[in-house]
Amino acid sequence: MDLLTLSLPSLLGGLAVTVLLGVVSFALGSVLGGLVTLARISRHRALRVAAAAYVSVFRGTPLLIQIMLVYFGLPQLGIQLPPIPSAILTLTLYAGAYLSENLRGGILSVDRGQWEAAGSMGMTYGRALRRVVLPQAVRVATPAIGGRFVSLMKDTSLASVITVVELTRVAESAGSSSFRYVEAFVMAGIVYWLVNTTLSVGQEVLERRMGRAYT
Amino acid sequence: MTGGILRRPVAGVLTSVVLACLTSTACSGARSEDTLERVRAAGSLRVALTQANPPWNFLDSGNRPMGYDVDIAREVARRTDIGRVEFIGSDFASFVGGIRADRFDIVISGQTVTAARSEQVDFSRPYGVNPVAVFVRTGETAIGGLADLAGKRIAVSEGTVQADFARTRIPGADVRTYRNATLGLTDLSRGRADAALVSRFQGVYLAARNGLTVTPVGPVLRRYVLAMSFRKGSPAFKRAVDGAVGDMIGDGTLSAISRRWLGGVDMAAELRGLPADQAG
Repeated sequence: MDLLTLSLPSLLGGLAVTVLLGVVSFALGSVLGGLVTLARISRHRALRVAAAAYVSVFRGTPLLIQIMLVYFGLPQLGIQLPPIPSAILTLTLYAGAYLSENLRGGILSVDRGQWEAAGSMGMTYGRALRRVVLPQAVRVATPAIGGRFVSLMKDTSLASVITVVELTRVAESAGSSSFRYVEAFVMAGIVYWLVNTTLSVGQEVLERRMGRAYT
Repeated sequence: MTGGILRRPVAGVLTSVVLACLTSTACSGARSEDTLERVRAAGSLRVALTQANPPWNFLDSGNRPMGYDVDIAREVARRTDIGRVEFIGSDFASFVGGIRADRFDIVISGQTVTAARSEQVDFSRPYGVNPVAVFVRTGETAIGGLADLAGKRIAVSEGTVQADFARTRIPGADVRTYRNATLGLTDLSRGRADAALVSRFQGVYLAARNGLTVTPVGPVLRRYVLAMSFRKGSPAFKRAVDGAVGDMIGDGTLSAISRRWLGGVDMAAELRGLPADQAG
């Protein structure tokens, strides 16, 4: 079996775009997810409702639909983005919804007593959140957030349907021009697996380091 | 522990199934009998097409398959005594792999005969000729034909001869691949591609029917010979399909279908005009 159906330059080019999509969307999605989490535990009802609606929509619809809607649908409303920005926007919105749920779960896992203790020491809401609750919440949420990063890396493959030349598109092109589908897709699968294995190892190191202060 | 009692027989069954698959062709889909016996036994012909490339083949507003390929497919089934046609939506990147993996019996979807494809699947005698042209946005003046395409964003469908053409013949082309030519033309009309390589019939049809602001420029690039593809090693099936196509050309059916879908063109006359080495 000739695994070199995919030429190295095209494989690396596809990998670069896949990593770009995954990393940028994860970074932006984390910021968005953090803001949405704050909105969800906010004292203002309107914020809570809006944030819950956003999470519900983006978790409750297929990513493929969202990607097609942003790329092929939005131009109908006069909003037109190039392929890669379209993909990053959609993946960010999608990841933000999941990450906010992960963070919210972490915050809810922190005992109410921690809030009360912080309050009794004279801390404001914001300071208690920053100094007492978030450090514990992030530690609890880290495994789920790491898992989300790995999922997002694989989800980037859907950008192939909106002309983004990432790893899956490179594999499909190579497969459909050489008819060596097994080689092309196995090769792409191995590259995804290597990327995600690296991420998982990084996550384990991070978790061990974060756990150190508590043991 | 109940898990231990249950697990062993299950694992044993799974192992033997996997072994059976590996050592025989039972699970491989690569059947040895002629496709004709199979479709007659099944009473149904599984036809793959894109369902998104009008007027060749597409779905109407009621989700019914329509177009030149669809009418031809129904005629082929009728003339080969296969009771039913089952249309399966697929795409050019999957046609050859789908035939080889036995996902469908035949591709009737404006597929061009190429040497590379012929190594993987068998082709029927030609049933159409597809003029491929350069399309640009209406009002575009910078692109007048193939010579102006270097370095431009070129819309094509993955797995098509046009995709190969763009990658190998247009220097520095930024090739944008779409699941079907309709999406590519739509994106061209919106300015996210500079030109599309597409069937002239399809671009003209979509411009007229769907109001897409695209227009062909320059001469027709190539006239591709279209045929139906199916699994290798099915001589009886090939004879039956070729016979059906030949009869349709002879009795005027093919001309009637092409006049209906392809802007009045007489495809039988086009096919008769092919050089002998392409006429199949």
